[in-house]
Amino acid sequence: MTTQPILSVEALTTNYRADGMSLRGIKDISFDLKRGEILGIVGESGSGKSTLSFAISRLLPENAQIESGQIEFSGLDLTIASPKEMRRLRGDKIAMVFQDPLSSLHPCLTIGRQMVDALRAHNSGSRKEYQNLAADMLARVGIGNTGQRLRQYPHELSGGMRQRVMIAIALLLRPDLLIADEPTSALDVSLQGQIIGLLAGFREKLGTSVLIISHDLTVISSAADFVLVMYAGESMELANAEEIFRHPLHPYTQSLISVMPDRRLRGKPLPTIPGRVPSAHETIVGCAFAGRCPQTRHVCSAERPQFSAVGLSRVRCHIYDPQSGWLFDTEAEKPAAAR
Amino acid sequence: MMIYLGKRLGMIAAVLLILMVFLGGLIHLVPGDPVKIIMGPLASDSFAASVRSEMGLDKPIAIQMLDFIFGAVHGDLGKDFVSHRPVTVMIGGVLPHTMILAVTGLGLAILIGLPLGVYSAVHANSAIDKAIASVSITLITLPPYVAGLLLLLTFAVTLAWLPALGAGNFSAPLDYAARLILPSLALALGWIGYLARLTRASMLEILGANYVRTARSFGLSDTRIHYLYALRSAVIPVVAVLGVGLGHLLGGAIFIEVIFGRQGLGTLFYDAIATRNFPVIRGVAVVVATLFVVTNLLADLSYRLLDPRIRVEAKT
Amino acid sequence: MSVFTITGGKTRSANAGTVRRLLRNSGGKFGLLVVLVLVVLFVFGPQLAPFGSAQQDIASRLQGPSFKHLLGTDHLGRDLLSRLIVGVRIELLVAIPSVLGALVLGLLLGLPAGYFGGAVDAAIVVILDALHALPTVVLALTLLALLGNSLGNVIFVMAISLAPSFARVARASVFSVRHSAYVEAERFLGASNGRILLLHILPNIIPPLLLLVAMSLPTAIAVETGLSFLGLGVRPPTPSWGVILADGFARVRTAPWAVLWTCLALAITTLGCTLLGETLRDILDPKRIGDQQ
Repeated sequence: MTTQPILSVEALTTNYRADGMSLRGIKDISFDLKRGEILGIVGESGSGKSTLSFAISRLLPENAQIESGQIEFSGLDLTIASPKEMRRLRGDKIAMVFQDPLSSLHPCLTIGRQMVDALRAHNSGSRKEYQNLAADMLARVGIGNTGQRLRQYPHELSGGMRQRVMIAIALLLRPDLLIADEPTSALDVSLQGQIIGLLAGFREKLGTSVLIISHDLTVISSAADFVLVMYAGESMELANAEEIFRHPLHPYTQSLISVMPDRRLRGKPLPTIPGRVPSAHETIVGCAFAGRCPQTRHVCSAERPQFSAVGLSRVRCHIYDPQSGWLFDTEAEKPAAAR
Repeated sequence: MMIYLGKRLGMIAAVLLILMVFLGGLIHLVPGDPVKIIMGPLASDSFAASVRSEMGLDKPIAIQMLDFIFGAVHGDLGKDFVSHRPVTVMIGGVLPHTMILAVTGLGLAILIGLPLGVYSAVHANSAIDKAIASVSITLITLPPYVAGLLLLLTFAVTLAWLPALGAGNFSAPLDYAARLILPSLALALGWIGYLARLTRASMLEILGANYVRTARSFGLSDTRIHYLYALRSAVIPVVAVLGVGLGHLLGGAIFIEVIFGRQGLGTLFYDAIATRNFPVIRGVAVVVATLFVVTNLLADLSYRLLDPRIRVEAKT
Repeated sequence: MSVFTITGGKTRSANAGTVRRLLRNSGGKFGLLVVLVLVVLFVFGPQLAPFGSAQQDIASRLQGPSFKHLLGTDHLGRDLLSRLIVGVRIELLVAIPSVLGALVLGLLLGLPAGYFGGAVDAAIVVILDALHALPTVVLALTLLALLGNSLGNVIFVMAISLAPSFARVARASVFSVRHSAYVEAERFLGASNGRILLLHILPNIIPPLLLLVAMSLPTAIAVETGLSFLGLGVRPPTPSWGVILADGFARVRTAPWAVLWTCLALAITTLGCTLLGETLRDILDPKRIGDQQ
């Protein structure tokens, strides 16, 4: 996979207004996504994953805006694309799958109507023809009895079925990029696997690049080629999926992996990372994770770490900083917590 | 659904029954001889006697009420005691004019008010939104007869663009339509403001909904998103209000018909009041109330049809 | 301004805040101005009017605006400005008692409906629905046709026509407080229904009803003028706005001034009162303040 990236995000920063203040959205996010690749984006709620996905598709809410940075998609900078250009891309080249399909599908329109509308936004064929295309796509995502399903309303379907419908709509126009925002958060574990498998399968068949966003590392681990770990709007670690699970570099990634639900421990309360994500109101001087990090030192809350390369990965942590890092010296400073 | 419909129909029957008992017995609530009250103290004794027997006022009150209700259910609302024509026939003759006026007014209100509301919501807090809000509240508080008189002054008297008097005749449809413009607009103005306000509030709520964002992710045009996806849901609470709307329009129509000299339920009512023609007054009141409850029911049913989620709940 | 002082106690500062917030809103400012002008004209109208409202001058009848008669004259040569100014007192003398009457009637129906629920409630709701099925004007006209249009009857009939909305609000408000802890406690201690209703429920449902009183005033003015316009409300020569309107309408082609001025006076009055009421509601109801932003 040495082709040009289909999506290249460079130093993307957003903000939003609330209560008359300008608040931090995402900060300085960079990554590349090549054709047919799957990039998983993980982080707790409030880490800015969804903001990132809405920024790419330019569907940010009214009070939010892109402050700086670039989003290059097939040679076009989406940060400066006109609304008309964006409309042409959306649905056709960039498709989205949202969390909570019940509220994301129109409650008063049939599944078929919504699928046909999505098709007609970019083509001018007949309704009948699109009905058939829609039925065909429903069958491909594993929905039987398609003729009847097309006439049903979202609330008449099960949760898993609705998410399949969302995916079917997203794939209708064979997009180059599929952004799936928490595609499985509303589903139980057995369905999660099926949905992720479905997304991965289409990558194989259609060569679609996929951005899967989830708070759940398990979801990401089963499908993604690469993983971007986000925290408080910043990128913490970007690495090959296998690598990140075997050798997580950032203390935050390590914590995330340590609290991954273990099937053998089912029924016990889920372990969580102590502390909380800093709110958008708080100004962060040093490392965003410093307040919760088990290995934090003075430098962590004083200076913002760089997103520096370590092997094939990149990580934003003072431990690995080429200048100030203490990765290989154990003598220098003891962890602040230990004193 | 059938249970719901049954309940609603039962309620409607109860409401109309009470209203007819009220209207049937109303004349006896007023102290004094009902005939003298109706005819005035100067009526001759023989005429008073004939009116008394024609209206059945010589029978016991309970029988009178039962007679009236029984007659009303069978489409007999009594006789005009001046011309002796059946009230039902008199009402039937003018009702089409009033219905056309009210429905045109409501149609204008929807055609103008809904897009104004959508535009306001889409461009919330813009200068135009604020202007629309100011115009809306002004229109809402404008009594229908003030709207009618101002339109009459401007377009019929001063500019003389449109005819001022009469409803015209069905045999001359173009003339009829021209004579419909000012009165129906006068009726509509308040509702234009009201619907614009209501639609704006409802749209603002819907525009933030997840499924509107989904529609955007399809690459649909803004117009389609606003008028098909968002308005489709935003219109549901508006429809519920329209049922009440027609009733209010019928009340306003009295003034409008008098001001523009149109034949209709309103002028019939007005003339009947001037001559204290009680059977006609009572008949019009019954018809107006019936129209009100029926349109209310229709609005309620279409409200349910528009929202498939309620449809399912109603089925089970 | 009884609305401000009715709550008593530690409300002085809150009231100052209310007025300040009212003045920050342009609609509220306009509404307050209109209401103040109405109050001044209500109290001092006959003194402020340049001519007597019944003073005729046949020689200068049906004139347009001039320096002598700023708004012109009617068919008897009476000064329109003076008649409109004096008319304010008539309008309010009919509208205010009508609305207060509607409040009392509404309480009589709404309190028991909300408090007792069950069959009492069902019966009252059907009656309210029946009254509601007739547009206000139709109901008022039907009653007036029978009763005859004395001033007292007009007020009585308007009170009945406006009562259903008061009854609805009263009923809904009682519903929301009748199972509250303090009402249950009173009941447990053996208080009679009448005592609970009067001493504990009534004070708690007063605020929404007062707001409705304020919001109903423009409606009452509009209905009263409409009735007089049709010749069934206040009767000539009393200079009610409806009477002025009816006089003017009879000669609208030759002398449109009377209709124009009365319509404008009515439009400004109803708009001002409504804006003041709405702004007060937005300020007093914290939930709605959020909506406004």
